[in-house]
Amino acid sequence: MLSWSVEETNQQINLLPIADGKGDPLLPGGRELIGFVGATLSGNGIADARTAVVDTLGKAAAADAAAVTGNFEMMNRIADGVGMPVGPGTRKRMAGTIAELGLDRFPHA
Amino acid sequence: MFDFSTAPLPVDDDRAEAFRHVWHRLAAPGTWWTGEERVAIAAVARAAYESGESAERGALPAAATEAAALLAHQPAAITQELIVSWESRGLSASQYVELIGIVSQLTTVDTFHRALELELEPLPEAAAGEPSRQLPEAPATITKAWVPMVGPPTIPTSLSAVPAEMAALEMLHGPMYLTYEEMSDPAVTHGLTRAQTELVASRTSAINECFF
Repeated sequence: MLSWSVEETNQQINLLPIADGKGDPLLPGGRELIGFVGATLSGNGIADARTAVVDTLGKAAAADAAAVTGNFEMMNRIADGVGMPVGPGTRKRMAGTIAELGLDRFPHA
Repeated sequence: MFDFSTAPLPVDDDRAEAFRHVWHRLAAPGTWWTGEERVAIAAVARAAYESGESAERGALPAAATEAAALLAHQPAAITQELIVSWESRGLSASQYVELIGIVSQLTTVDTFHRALELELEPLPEAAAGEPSRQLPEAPATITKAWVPMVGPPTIPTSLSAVPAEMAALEMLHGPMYLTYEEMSDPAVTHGLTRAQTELVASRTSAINECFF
């Protein structure tokens, strides 16, 4: 979905920060959003990370980031809990992303 | 309940209302668990999320306690063998699907609170009553996933063996992320652009080691 939305809106993306949390994903406020997610899920430095998103993108964006993080905490548990299969079509379509981010290391890949 | 008047960020009414709905459902008898058992599952999950420990809860079978704790703390560690093992110890597939609904919805609400550094909402008092034992309209079967579903395994059918949990997932999905209609729009923008939204989603999944 990320690559698709970036392509369809003529933006650029660096996917590596998604995997390791470091660097600039090249989207506006991307570095701050990556930091906010990491802080929220680790419990460390949440206030500073949230302030960085507010300063860069505004309060509504920070609230959305908190909500989307919460939503994917739910979706990840559903996908892993039910053993959602990764179909061959998805695997083929995402081959480049899987290789770039090393997603095959994930237990349910 | 869910008063965000002192929150450091604006909280949309539809999000607060969705949280109240989750809490109301959590306390009420479900499809295969009583209200007391549903709240106990949530208590196990909340405790395990941070500590990783599977605290005993008197109202729950041991297999349910283990499943709730692992799903909350380390969902990527769940395997088909574990699910089969839990089932052999009395946790039926339908009970497990409902448990996934309870834990995942709780985690959504709690994570939002953690991001805003708000006190977690106290778990509700359980309501009396018996589970509905409502079956899906069509038979749920196991195909390529590890639990029964009505139709091919996709996120929109993931909890379909327990229709009330499927409906609850859909009710939270829109206020927290995007509605199903919005998902087909690569440029949809609320507080975040679509690409920024997907960046947050992707980083969350990466930290959770979830391929999805």
